[in-house]
Amino acid sequence: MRAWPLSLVLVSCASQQRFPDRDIVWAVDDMKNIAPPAENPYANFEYMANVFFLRRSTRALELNTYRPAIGTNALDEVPDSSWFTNRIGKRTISPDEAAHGCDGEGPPVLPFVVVAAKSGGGNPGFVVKDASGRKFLVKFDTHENPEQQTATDAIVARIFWTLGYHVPADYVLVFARDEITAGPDVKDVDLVLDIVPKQLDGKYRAIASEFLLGKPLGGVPPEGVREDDPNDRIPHQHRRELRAMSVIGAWLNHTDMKEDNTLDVLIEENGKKFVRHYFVDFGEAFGAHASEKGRFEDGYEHYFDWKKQALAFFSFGLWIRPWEWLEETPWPVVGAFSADHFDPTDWREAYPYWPITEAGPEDHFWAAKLVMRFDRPILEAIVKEAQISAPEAAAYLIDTLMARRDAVGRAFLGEVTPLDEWTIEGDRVCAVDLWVRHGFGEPEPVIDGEGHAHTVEKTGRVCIPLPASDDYTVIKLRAGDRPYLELHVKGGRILGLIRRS
Amino acid sequence: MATAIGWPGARSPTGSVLLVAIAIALAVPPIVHADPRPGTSTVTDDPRGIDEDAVTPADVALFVPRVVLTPLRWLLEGTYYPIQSALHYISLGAAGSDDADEPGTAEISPLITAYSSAGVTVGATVFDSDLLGHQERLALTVSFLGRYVHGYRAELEARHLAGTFLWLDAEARYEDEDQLHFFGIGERGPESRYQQQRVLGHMRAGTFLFDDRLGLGASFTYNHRRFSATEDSSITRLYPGLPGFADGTDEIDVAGEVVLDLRREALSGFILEAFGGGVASNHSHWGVDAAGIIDLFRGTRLLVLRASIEAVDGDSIPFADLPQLGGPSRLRGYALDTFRDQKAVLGSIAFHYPIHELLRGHLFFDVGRVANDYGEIFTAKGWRAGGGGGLCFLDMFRIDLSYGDGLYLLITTEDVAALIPKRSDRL
Repeated sequence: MRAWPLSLVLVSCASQQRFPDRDIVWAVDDMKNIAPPAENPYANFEYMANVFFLRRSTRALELNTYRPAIGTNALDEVPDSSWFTNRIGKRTISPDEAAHGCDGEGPPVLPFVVVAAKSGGGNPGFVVKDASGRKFLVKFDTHENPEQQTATDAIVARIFWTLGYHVPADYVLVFARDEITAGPDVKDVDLVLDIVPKQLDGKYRAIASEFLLGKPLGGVPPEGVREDDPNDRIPHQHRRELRAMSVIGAWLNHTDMKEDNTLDVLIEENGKKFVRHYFVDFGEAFGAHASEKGRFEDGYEHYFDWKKQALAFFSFGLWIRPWEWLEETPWPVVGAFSADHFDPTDWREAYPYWPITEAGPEDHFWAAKLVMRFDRPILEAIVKEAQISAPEAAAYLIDTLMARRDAVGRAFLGEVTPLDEWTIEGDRVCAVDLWVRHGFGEPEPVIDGEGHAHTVEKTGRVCIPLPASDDYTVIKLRAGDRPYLELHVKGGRILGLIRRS
Repeated sequence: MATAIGWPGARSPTGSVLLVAIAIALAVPPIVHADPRPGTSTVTDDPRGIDEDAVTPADVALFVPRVVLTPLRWLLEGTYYPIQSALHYISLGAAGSDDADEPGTAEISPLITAYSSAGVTVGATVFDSDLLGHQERLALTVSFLGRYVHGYRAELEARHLAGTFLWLDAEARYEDEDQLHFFGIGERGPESRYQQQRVLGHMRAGTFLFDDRLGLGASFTYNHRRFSATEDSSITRLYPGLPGFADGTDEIDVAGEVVLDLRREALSGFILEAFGGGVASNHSHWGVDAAGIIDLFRGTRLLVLRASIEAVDGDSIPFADLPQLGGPSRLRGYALDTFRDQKAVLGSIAFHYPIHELLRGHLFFDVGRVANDYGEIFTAKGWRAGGGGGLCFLDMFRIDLSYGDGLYLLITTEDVAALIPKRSDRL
């Protein structure tokens, strides 16, 4: 198959090298010692006014066009950083590891001592110290949907951790009244316990979220950088790992995406101070935000969705929107979470999130391939940690996550030529067609820039001969009628990849 | 980012040079970053190693539009800045506060009603929707401008007063209105104006039976009205000798009332109100108002069908006691009280549909007519029709645009969410 190596050489001139001749960068050092940045308190009214009206209108006047994400490595992957640590995207994650998640020192040890009231958020709760002296934020479910927010939080936090995000360690736990006492500065624990749901055995079910070590600095702005953090150099709307929320959010229906549900924390490690960036508060994913707010349109429309709601007005009621067909499931813990009527390309977060607005096919592909790596055993192990009392509800949740996962893969993997997992094998470069691997279509030959076809195996694997010369070479490849990708090679090494030529 | 916004001299020679420079830049391959440490796997930044900020063809194409729009963007940003600052301050101030509803407290809401033919009325309502713990609504309202010089109104509505069997609605009003319209009796005549000062006392008492489905009651209404001409004397000039105008009215009206309410949570079902009674010295009156609410789709799309008939019988009936049509609740698309006569019928169909959880849309079509006697009222001639649509924002305000004999706009904060208008509004 090396009869036509020269035909692959589209560009073979050292002066036109696009990628430098170096190893692929899998970690960036954005954790250099810095002076502590200022706190960034969340201003809800200002934030909402900006995302729906004010900043939205000035953004429109900027006439921004799509730009590929910044900060990805030469393979268009996200390197490890203070934002992200490659896990399921780069190595095998066992079900046990995924279920364990960001455990730190493990679940809290009872009894609790309440040290402060919980501030912010819609649900009751308080700040406690456990028997080992660790600090947790304890939150409860609503009476209308017992187990829902606690289970959702525990599951989604573990999924986010498995994907590679930094999250707090969240645990579902059950405790009796005599396992919690008021600390010296707390007036009455029962003021909270009297209004939260109780189990039949009289115990309380809650989610305990371990306090992050370090100083909280407030949320991560969805746009621009923190001016007082020299490590923060990439505008957040152009970060691949944040843009990926367009896909991950759709999968998990994590609609409550806003600055307040992210957290910058000033970390001190090895004598260095730097900011680490977290996602927090996942309790309103799945169907929980809809249950709490009574909004079935969550995931289908922004809270103020100028296009869809204008269309609803001018349709004079004749357009029955997809979410209007949704039914509550029989299980309050699940709510109206479903794979029916789910179109990932039409998914909307509740409040416009600029990284999602800026996301493009490359970002979708990257996120979708991570999502597709969650198999049933991993999801079963994660859902088990939520301690859902109805086994059939847990089974439904897993089935729904699997079905939505496939919908996500089908929607986004095919937006680009879905070749991935590149390896050099002798005089060939090999890859896997993820579209084929995940069973979304029959194998179709991969076409190179000269029109030659390369057979794709049933597993999705495809190999293409490397050029005979050691010169810098660009190989163009496409699967089906998708856009070409460019693979930049030199001397038997892959130097870089451009997902859409 | 290589945004072109704000580059100076876009239309100057300097701008042209910049454009040429961009075009040249596009033709030249991007610079390859030199890596001082080949083979390392960790660098401070630039993990991709290629120029991410390259100017794209789209940037070139959008260069001029971006420059043109920049002043507007700056203007908006300057305008928004104080708003954003205020919202920031308010947000942080509100962060620690609880917004729990305090039981036993009253609310105050602004009152604005603008209708094309009646001007803009403003005022305020103070109300408690649960006065004694059984959904007793007490409201005190003041109104100014528009049709009013000033108006004051106190209302109590309770289906089960203090949890008892007693259905009690009571109302007291004082109204001084100086720009009311009169278009004659029967067919619409020339427009005239008049003034009215009124004291009204109204009480309806009874009980609801059969799981609140059947209401039986009696009402007593005292109506003291005095009329006068406006400065242009149009009403006395155009309609001399109008019954009741010169002397006004001092009436005590007694009526029996029946309510058949088969609605389920107000989203579907049927409601019928019938009344009959009279003013002992002058005339009798009766009426039936029936409405059906059909849930077309999961409580989100409602079809409301309504029919009503109202009649007075007697001699020299004061013009103000005649049934009227026209206005935002009875025959939309016409000026308020355009038509009046001894008999009036009205049919209405309205469709309500969802847009947003705070916003609903509706379309409506009304037909109606007035007549002097029963023989005339159901003949084919003389019917008037009007239709239109509108928006209802929560229960805060409603906007209707209707067309009948002209185009009429209604903006109101009163009874916004009501699918069926209250009968007491027509007293």
